Amino acid sequence: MFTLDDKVASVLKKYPYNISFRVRDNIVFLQGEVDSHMEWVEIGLSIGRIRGVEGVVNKITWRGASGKEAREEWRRRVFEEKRNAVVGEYDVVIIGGGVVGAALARELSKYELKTALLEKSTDIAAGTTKANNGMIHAGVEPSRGTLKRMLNVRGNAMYGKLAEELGFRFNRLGSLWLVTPRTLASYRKYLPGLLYNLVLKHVFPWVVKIKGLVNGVRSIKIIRGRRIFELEPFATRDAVAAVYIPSTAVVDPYEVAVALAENAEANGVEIHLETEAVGFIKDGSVIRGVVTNKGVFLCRYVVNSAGLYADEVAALAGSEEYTIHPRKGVLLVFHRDTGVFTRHCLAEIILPQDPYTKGGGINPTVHGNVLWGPTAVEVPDKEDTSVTREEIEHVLNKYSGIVPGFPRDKVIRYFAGVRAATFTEDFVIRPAKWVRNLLHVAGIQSPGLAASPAIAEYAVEKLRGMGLRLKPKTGFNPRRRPMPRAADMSLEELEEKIRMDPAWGRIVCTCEFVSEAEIVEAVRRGAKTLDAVKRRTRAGMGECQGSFCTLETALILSRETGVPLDMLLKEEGRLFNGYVRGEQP
Amino acid sequence: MQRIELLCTRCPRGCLLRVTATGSRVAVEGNECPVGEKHGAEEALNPRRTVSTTVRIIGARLPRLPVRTSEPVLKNRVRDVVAALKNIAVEAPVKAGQVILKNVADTGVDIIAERDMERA
Amino acid sequence: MRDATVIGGGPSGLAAAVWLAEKGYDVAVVEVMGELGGMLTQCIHDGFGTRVFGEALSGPEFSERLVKKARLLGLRTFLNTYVKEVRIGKEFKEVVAVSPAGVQRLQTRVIVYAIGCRERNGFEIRLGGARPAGVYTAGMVQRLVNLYGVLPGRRIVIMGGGDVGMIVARHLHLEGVESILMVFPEAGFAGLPRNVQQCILDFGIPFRPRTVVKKVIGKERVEGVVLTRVDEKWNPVEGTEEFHACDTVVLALGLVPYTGELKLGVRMDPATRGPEVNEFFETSVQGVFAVGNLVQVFDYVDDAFETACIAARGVEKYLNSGLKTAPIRLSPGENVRMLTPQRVEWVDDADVPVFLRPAVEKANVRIVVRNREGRVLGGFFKRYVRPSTLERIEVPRSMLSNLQEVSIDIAED
Repeated sequence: MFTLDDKVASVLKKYPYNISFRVRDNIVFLQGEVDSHMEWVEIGLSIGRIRGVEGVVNKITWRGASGKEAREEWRRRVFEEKRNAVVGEYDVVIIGGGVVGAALARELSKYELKTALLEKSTDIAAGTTKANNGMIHAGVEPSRGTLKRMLNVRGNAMYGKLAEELGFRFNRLGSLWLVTPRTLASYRKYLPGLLYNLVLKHVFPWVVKIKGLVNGVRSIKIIRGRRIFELEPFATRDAVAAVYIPSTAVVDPYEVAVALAENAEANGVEIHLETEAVGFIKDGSVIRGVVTNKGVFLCRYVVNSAGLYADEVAALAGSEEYTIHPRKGVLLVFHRDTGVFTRHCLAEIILPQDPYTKGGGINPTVHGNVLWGPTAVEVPDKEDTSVTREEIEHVLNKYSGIVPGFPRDKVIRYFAGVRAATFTEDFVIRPAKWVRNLLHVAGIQSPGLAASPAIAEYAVEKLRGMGLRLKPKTGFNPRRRPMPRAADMSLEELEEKIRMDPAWGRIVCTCEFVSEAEIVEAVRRGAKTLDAVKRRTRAGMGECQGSFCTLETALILSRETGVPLDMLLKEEGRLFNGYVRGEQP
Repeated sequence: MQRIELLCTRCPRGCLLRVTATGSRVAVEGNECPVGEKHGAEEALNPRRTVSTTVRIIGARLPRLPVRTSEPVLKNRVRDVVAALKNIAVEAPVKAGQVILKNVADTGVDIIAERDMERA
Repeated sequence: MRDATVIGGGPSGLAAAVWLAEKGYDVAVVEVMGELGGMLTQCIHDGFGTRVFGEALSGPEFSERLVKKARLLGLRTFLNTYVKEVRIGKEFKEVVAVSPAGVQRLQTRVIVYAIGCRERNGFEIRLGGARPAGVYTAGMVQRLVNLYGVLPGRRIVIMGGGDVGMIVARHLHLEGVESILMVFPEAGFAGLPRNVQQCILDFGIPFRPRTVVKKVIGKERVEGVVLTRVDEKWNPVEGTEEFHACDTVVLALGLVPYTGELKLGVRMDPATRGPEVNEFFETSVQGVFAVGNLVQVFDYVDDAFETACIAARGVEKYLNSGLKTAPIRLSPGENVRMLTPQRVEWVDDADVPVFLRPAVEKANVRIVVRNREGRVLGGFFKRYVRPSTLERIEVPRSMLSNLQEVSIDIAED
């Protein structure tokens, strides 16, 4: 019988470095120095794969790694400044307002609790949530024994009702995974001659289908021949079979998060933006308060759903059980005209997976655009959302085989998001090991968006297990008034709206048909920045990418919020800076 | 003696003119045509520019009123003209051509409004 | 029912509307912004209208002349009005427009599209890096500075050496930013010599030819750019990357016809990126005309203005049931990048003005009109042509009679 220590030691032996480690309660702490960030990732992952390891805290440094001293210094200073300024007392404080934090807030708002959601940015959903492909995975991919598997299938099933209650756009369009001669090309030498085609067409699709069925995904169909092109007329003609998964859906990820947060707020949750946790007031192994730049939130329970920063928050709280290794994903956005080329989420199965674009494919959005991607690249910096020309080319080349006739030049935008992966590569949803009233909801990577409603339920059950009393609230209102949109209205409806409020008739973003009234409405619902308005209204997301409407939108935002034009923020940075000849107005 | 280099702006070709001025005597090189010679001489002896900028306007739909010099001013006075307009404010309504500032920076030229601006 | 509805109240739209109104036709102008004048209202520098009005005016002055004429003529204008749909019927056309006053359904016999162009953005040139605050198109910056008196930032990098970039550089320089650097991939400025001299050289604004921004650096706000030198084919030269600190990136990457807003299936020309038109600027849909920068991006407002006046004559012919013949196709030949019009089809005796964009920079050339067999039908001497300057020739109709296809080349004289 090998102990965890033995196993870790034997894995580390493979690397030519002096790496020391320590194991405590199945958490492995690594220390040492390696040459590159990639080795840091690789070692962390190989330890994370060991059975029985529940977390990897990777304190190995690599050459050229940038320090976090400035950030830590800032936190210490703010902690000292604010540790005595009490904001209020709460039953639960949620740290992090991504889709998971927002779903949790809404779930907790069903009970008689005083809950606060803290978000360091100027808006909900401003981190990982705002930059993914909006796919609600069916749940075929996660492997056995993972939380991902359990919560993905369940979360997917919850989305229909959620969308109906919260009024966000939701389209269960299904996905089609194509099997082509490229699918098993790497294994061709084992499958001589006709055997290859036979396996491709008749064996391999079943492998995929059975995996899905075992995971609990229903109604998976294998289709072949003409039927593929009836479903997807522009798909590559060399597709020999396809696995059709009808429960895959798409949403607008920030619309979901914003809807959840708005509904939570309507049911009594306090949402504190620009509020960053810098430390904790503790009494032994119990947290008494979360210290932030806005003051102290006294509390009985804390949920850590801080996404990319969950490891740092856990460390501040005294229960550092994992390290986040940021993984960037690049996505290309295509013009709405290209919507005709895909009816489903389309992917081509290629094994083994390209390590830089695990999965990914061509996905329609709820708005009619099409997304290509994402890639999956390990990056040292949690905020590295840069996109290079090479990455764009990589995505274009990788996916153009799926729909050969797709107009590749219709890219209107590209962006990157960073996933908050842990080295165990599964969701971490459990009470902290060394702090009694802290719940980790961390490592939420793909399929986190799909799983988020189930994550929230699961997490609340964990809180109950930790002693939180959950008394259902009688007045809970599950419904939220959807954002009204001129683009979705008939002319008659729009005419009626204009009669009530002429601002409905002033179209500010002509590419996406967004009226002034919608921008005003977004501000009323809490948007404070240009990007927050953009996410809620789509102003600036069309063909011209805001070259006409950025300024018009900013003027309305300035008027509605009373913030002078030159002081407005994009997300966290100032949009503009200064006046002509220094002439203050 | 003064030497300057400048681009001829009279046609798309944009010849690089080398102008040597000795008193009122001017020699132009690099020009491909007579227009360039004339242009070079003018630029050496009397280079002038119209200056366009904005001043604050109070009570209009927009906070700035576009203005310009009524005539071109000497090129080396452009910055002075702009500087002289710092913190100048006018009240709406304004008519196009209306004088906003007389004899700006002692150039002998006025600053005029480029457009009408009504009271909002 | 109106005779004509002009969509777009910039210089081209106003020119067409005023021309028609002066002739007594019932015309309306639909403008999406709160005032007429289009882009001219933000172009406060001078140099507009030397051909149309015989003097150098500022943008606002040029547009005021048209607006005043329109007012005198009692031209019907719909401001803050956005055209959502256009319906083409047999008898008449309908423009469905949305405004604070409600949804307008304007019935009309003719539609003149004059919705101009839009700026190319960073995504279209695959600009790399992050997208923090501080990356703006030049036109937006011009509007911000000239209409609202706000600066985009203090330390500026301008991408692009065309006219728009140069003019914005001068504004920013005079209005008090701390530093400006212009970069562009060409060996020299792509705009008019006049702007090179009067916007850049006059003020000693620094510029770097054969240089591009490889990526934008910054988290919340732009912190700098990585510049790289490029070769003649605009490929990055390895080892020339260099960080340049700045807080603003201004994109002056050129203009493209704003065809995304054309609500009907007119035929497009991939070269001009605008709708295909005949000699009176009528699109492939009968009775729908397109003028100004929507058709192809012109260097001078005077040219755009002229297309509007030509189109207005076409509108008049259309309204009076003028006759057409089999179309003669005009196509760009050697050393010509694009041209307008793409076909000649009306029965008329006026010469046909052809606007063309040279693909080369050359002295002493002839713009040559050839028939399908390559026989030269006529030529026009030009002392100097270059891609950044649009050329205009008047092709006599007699030269085109009884032909089906004509190509236009630029050849050595």
